[in-house]
Amino acid sequence: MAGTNPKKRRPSSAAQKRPAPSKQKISSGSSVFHKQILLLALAFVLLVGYFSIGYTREWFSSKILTCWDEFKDQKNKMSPEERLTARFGNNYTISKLLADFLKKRGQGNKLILMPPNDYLTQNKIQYKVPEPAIFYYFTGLKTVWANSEEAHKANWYVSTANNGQMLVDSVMNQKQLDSVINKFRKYKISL
Amino acid sequence: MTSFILLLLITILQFISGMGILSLFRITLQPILQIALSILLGIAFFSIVPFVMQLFYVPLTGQNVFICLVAGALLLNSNFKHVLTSYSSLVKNFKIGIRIYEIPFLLLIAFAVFLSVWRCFYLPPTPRDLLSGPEVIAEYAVKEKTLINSVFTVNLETTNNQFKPAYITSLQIIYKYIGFQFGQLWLSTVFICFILFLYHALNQKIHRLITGFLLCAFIAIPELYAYTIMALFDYSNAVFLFLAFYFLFEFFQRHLSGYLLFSGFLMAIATYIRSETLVLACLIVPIIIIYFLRNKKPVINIISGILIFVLPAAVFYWISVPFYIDHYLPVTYNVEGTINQHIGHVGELWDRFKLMNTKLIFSETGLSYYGYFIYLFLAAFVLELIVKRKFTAQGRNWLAAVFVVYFGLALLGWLLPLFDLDSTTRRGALKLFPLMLFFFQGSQLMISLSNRISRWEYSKKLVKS
Repeated sequence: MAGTNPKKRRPSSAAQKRPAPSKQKISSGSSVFHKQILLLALAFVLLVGYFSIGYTREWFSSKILTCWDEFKDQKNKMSPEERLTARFGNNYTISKLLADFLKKRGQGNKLILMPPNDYLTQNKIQYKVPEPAIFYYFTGLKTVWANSEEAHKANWYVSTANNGQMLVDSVMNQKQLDSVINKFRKYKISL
Repeated sequence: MTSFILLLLITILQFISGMGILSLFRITLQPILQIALSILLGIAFFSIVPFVMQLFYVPLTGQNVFICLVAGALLLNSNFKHVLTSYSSLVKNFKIGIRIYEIPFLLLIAFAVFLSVWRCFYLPPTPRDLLSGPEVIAEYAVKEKTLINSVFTVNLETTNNQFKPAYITSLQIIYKYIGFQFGQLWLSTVFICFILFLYHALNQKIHRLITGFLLCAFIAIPELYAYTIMALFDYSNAVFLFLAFYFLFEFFQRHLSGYLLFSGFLMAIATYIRSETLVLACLIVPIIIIYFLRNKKPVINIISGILIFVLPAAVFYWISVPFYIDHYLPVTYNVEGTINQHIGHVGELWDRFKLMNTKLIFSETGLSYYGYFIYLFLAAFVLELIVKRKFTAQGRNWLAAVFVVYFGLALLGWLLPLFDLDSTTRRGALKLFPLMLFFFQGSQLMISLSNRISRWEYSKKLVKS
């Protein structure tokens, strides 16, 4: 561990390069070229060998080749919305739909109570509710989850209708809000 | 198109800033190493500027940010004479030579880099830790011209990511201002410059055939490659921690205090990126003490050496975490509360260490995260031990570095309950790989194999007369 004694100072790493080949022994250009071709063949063997085994092969085909295939498709879909949808899927598109709906209902301060994921899953709705910070990033709207102390400040809520669709409604009174919060709190609330 | 021109200009400005920083520390390297390192330092400098502006309540308008970046770059280059010498030496010594057998490796690396850059550009930030903290703060900082923005009025009970240091937030702001809605391309710059640095630094001692293969194996570490696409703290943290070690070991060889200072500065950057790196900085102290003791230095030198290395990291930590959170953010966070309250239960540290090995590093899951690179390193280590029976000074240094991080990850997991095994430790392990890679550079076996290949490549058999 640690360094060498200054009295036995060694040359710096830059100076500690491999020894330069002796001039008397330097082979002709063509000989060097032939040897380099052999090294090229060895390079191929090393690469093909390493990238043909188990996890490296899997990584190459599942990541690199898949990314390449996706690239060929992605380069034709350049709008930010397409890219956001490609990355976040339903989580983004449904959040945006909810936000568009709510923005049409006026510009006032809105705090939306969001349902737990388990509740939505039980109602066969494929939407993973983004946590409030991410929902704000997607839409500019503030949300709150039912397990928060701030849940009782919500003035809108998202729930489900009987036909398996999402329902967005304003809070009419505190009793109604408490009932929705209690309904949501029966489910596990987590990310 | 304008964005890409601005990206080029920004990268040039990063290079200029980095050259200025290197000249302040009187560090001179081979041209390509110098260029790569300068840009990396420039990125680190850029990540600090919007944060410092916020500390002084300067509005983060595009104009203000770019004026401060240019002014900062000029200030860093105020030692014109030394800077000009650096540039002229860079131009004079600059040369690129590629051997034909490097081409397969370089093509593979270029392909992997291209896909990584494309995805960084194309896809929005993905990790939850980024979206629910630095990214949303950066997005609204661009709209509201301050880091302390409306995000802090949102219900943030589900996250603590708003308390992370401003490294990513600052860079995201700059890259959003130049027209990249999803930012992130700074990560591609870090990736490319790091690969360039590693390739040329390795080439100094080992044959290009071996370097090429090792670097391809390094790039093919699944988890490491994934974080060149998904912007988060860990890749940058691994880069600057590695650089801190690299220049610490250069100091051990050259005995020039500028290298120790520079290493301390790099450690401070690594700590600014991920605050818990401060613990690793402290764990490196015994290595520094051993160096000073072996060189029979007085106690005062040992103390000043330790302070030079640890103090900058401690200052960066204090400013970017407790000071900033307590004096600027409108919400409170109990930093002490994140520390293990049962510190006396040392047995749990051993449990954590065992768990890290069995569940993460040496497991089926570990193979899917890290591929075979750990096993390549272990094979080189065992071979060196069996065949050579001793390690070079460089080999020992890099082994010590691997040990510090390896043990440090378990220690951090025990010390900080939020430092969980499945995500934080998994990503934290990325720090190990550049250190393992450089063990190969200090391996006598690799060096003698390289010498044999070089001699064979350039020499012909002597014909007996």
